[in-house]
This record gives sequence, C-alpha cells and structure tokens, in this order.
Amino acid sequence: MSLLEYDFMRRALLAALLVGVAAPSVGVFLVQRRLALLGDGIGHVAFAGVAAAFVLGTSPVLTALAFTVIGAVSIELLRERGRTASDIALAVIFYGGIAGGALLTYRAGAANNALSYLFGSVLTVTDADLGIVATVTVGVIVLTFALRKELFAICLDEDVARVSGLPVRGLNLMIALLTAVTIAVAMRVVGLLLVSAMLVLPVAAVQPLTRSFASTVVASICLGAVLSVGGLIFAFYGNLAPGATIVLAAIAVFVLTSGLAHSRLVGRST
Amino acid sequence: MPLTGVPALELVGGSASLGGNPVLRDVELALAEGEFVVLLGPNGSGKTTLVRALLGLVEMTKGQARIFGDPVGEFSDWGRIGYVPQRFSATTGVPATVEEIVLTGRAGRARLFRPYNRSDRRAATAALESVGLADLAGRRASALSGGQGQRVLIARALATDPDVLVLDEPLAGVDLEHQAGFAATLGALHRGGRAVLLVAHGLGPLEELVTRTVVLSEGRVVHDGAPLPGDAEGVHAHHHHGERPDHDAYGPVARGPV
Repeated sequence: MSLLEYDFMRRALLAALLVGVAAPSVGVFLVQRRLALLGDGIGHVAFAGVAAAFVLGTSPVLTALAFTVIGAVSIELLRERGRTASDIALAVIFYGGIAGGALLTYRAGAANNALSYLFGSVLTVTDADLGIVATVTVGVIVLTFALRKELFAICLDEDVARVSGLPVRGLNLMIALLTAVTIAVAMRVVGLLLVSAMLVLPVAAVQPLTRSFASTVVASICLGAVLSVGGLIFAFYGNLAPGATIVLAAIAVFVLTSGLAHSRLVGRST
Repeated sequence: MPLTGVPALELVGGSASLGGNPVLRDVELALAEGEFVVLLGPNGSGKTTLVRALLGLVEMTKGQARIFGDPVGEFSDWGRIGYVPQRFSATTGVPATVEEIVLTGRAGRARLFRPYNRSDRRAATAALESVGLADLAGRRASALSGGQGQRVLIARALATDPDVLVLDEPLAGVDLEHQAGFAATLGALHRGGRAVLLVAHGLGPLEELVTRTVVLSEGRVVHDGAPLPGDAEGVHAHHHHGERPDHDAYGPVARGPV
C-alpha cells in the first residue's frame, strides 16, 4: 500500500484508528444518558483551550485537555446540584468557551491556525501528538472496559445504582473525565466542531440493529474504527477533508441502518 | 433473617424541600422487618420524596434516615435493600436485554473492575423466575409491554435477594388484570419474609396483603395504623372494579399479552 510509505499518513491512520475505537467506547454511555450533545459542549470548551495555547505558546492538545477536564468536571457538578438551572449553566459554559476561544485566537493572531483545530488536521499529527493520543485513547479504552458494568448501571438508573451501593458520584465524575479527554484528543482527527459526532454517531448507527448493550458496544467500536480509517483513506485518495469525510460516512451508515430497522418494523406492522 | 427489633427503614423528624417548597414536614415513619406497609396519599403529598429520603436519595433539611439502625450515609449492606423507583420504562437510550438490566441490581455487590460472575447470573435468573419472566431474559427490554417492563424493574430489585423491598407506584400504567398477578407475586415475596414498603395511589388487589397503612397529606403523616380501606378510598381518587382498567394519567398503557 503506497499510502503507508508516507510517515504523516502512518501517524494519521494510527491516530484515526485509536480515536475511532475510543470515541464510541465513551459515547455509548452519553447516548444511554441522552446526553449526546454534551460532547459538543465540551468541544466548545476545548476551543478555548486551543486558543489559550496559542497565546501561551504551550501544546494545544495538552492545554485543550486541561480545559476540557475542568469544563467537564464543572458541568458534572452543576448537573449533580439540580436539574432546573443546569440548562442555562451549560449554555454559559459552552458559549463562554467559544467566545473566549475566539477572543484569544484573534489576540494571538492565529485565526488561520485555529481553523485546523475546528475542522481537524489529522495529516499534521506529530510524533508528540500521537504519543498523547495513544496514551489517552488506550487509557480510555481500558477504563471503559474495566468499569463497563458500573458505568452501565449508573447510566441506566442513577437512583437504583446508588441504592445498590455503587459510588455514583465518583463514577459520574469518571464519565465526565473520560468524555473530556476523549474529546481533547479526538479533535486532532475530526476537529472540534465534529468531535461529538465521533462519540455519538457510531452508537446511533448500530443501535437500530442491536439487541443488547454488550453487542451495541462491540458493534459501535468496530464501526467507529472502520469509519475513521476508511474515511481517512477515502479522503486521501479523493483529496477531501478527512474529518468531514469520516462524519458524513457515519451519517450515511446511520441513515441506512435506521431505514433498515424502520422497514423491518413496518413489515411487522406494530 | 434475624428479627432484631431494629426497624429496617426509619425516618426520624424528616423534613425536606424541593426548590424552596417544603415537601416533607417532620415525618416519623418506621418499617419493621416483615411488615407490609402501604403509603397512600394524593398526588404531590410527598410520597415519592418520603421514600427517596428513607433511602438517602434526597437531602433533608432536618431529621435523619436510618437503615437497619445505621444512619443512611454510613449504611453499607445495600444488598439487603431492593428499590423499584417510579419509572414508566426499564429502558434508556441504548438497547439492553432484560438480563442486562436485572444484573445492574447487583452492580454494587459484584466486584469492581470484574464482569458479573456465574452466581450473579444465577441470581438474576432466579429474580426473573420469581416475577415469571425467566424466558424473556434475552429479549430487548424496549420490546416489552408496560406490565412486563414493570416486572423487570421488580426483578432488578430482587437480584440481591433483599430483606426489604421498596416500590414506588409500581402499578402506574398496569391494567387491573395484571395488577392481580402483581399482587400475587408481591404476596409471595412478603410471605418469604421480606418487609415491603409500597407507594400506591390505591390499594386495588393489594388490599389483603397490607399489614399497615400510612397516609400522607401535604408532607405530613395523617394516618398511621391498621389498614382502613374506607380511609384509603377517601384519600386517593378512586379505583375501578370492573370493565375499565385503571390507568394513571401519565402511565404508558400496557399493551399485548404479558
């Protein structure tokens, strides 16, 4: 394969594969909680982190990581407090992230540079970036696998989980942290504006066809890996934007499986 | 099960507020081991908050909740408590099988970082058998009827073979025919030695099981004693005997055979 002769392409494919596997591993819990758009909000916060890195001269991925972790933990604490006001509080955090990011970006004179983070630039992943992406994604995959029965239980019913004796608060923070770090590294592949799609769409695309939680997890991880690697290769040969290609491919699969499930349902007539 | 004389669940001078409005005012309530207590009261009288406070799910402004004598924050033997919250469906955003949902009842007892083992699975199967759903273990939960879904939630609460069963309006959305089956299941569980605290809108077929009735009104206990069906009739709206199934306004309508 001629594509593997390029160093940048090898790095890009590896990053895409790791993110493709890690993103649905976390995303499945967000979908279960009907918090599919939470990732999007944390992506907004990551933008402020990237912009802060331009001003400070630090590593954008690491700075974004710090910002998303702080953002996700604050969001979780707000969510825990009470549900009525959290809606507005979330909006403030999300838009604060974008506005703060825009302000800092212009201040640093880095508007063009910011675009590569908004839409992804997987082909410019450096060895250092890849090291961070690999560390974080492998950590996320191991933790979500090891804690799958606890995380499933709290996402299914928080009250029952508490009464069953689970440390619900710690596990909620764990989900927030896993989401935060996944988003910070996934932005290198598909960009901040599309990052949430990597977490949610593979899950949404397989669940019309799955019956159990376990099979949904396995199928969404496989689909995530195939979509991100396949989308990247397709984008390379077609000279397309990789992030957008991956996300549009995911949407195509989603439309297909939903249609399939719907026609099955209609066939049975409920 | 040793009878120790210590109440299984106890609320001492419990007061709680939601959004600044007092919901519970100085509530005293104890559930002894082996009792079958029904908590009645109109909508908004604080029944659900009372149950949640007993289990440590609501922060109280005053008073204390105790489980088997321990303050709820220090209680750790959660396998002894089975809780069926007020829910209209067993499912969430992602598909899950009946067995997967029932197993979560054991999540706090099973070892951290380990998958469920064989004895967890056996317990889940036994719990499903006791509600008559053993053959549906592999079914996608969202494909169940309202009555079946309700029984899945009860099976989840039974997965640790608890000494106490707390059920919050388990009959919302279950038609009268299936309410009788539910009463039989609950009666068997109670005869097996479990204490039961049940939040209900009306007694219906449960009437003969009840050993004590507590009536709540505007966050206060206004009756605590012998089951008084006449009293209960006056407190809740009505229940139909006869042709029309009793659906709560908000419950999903049970459909199809259970």
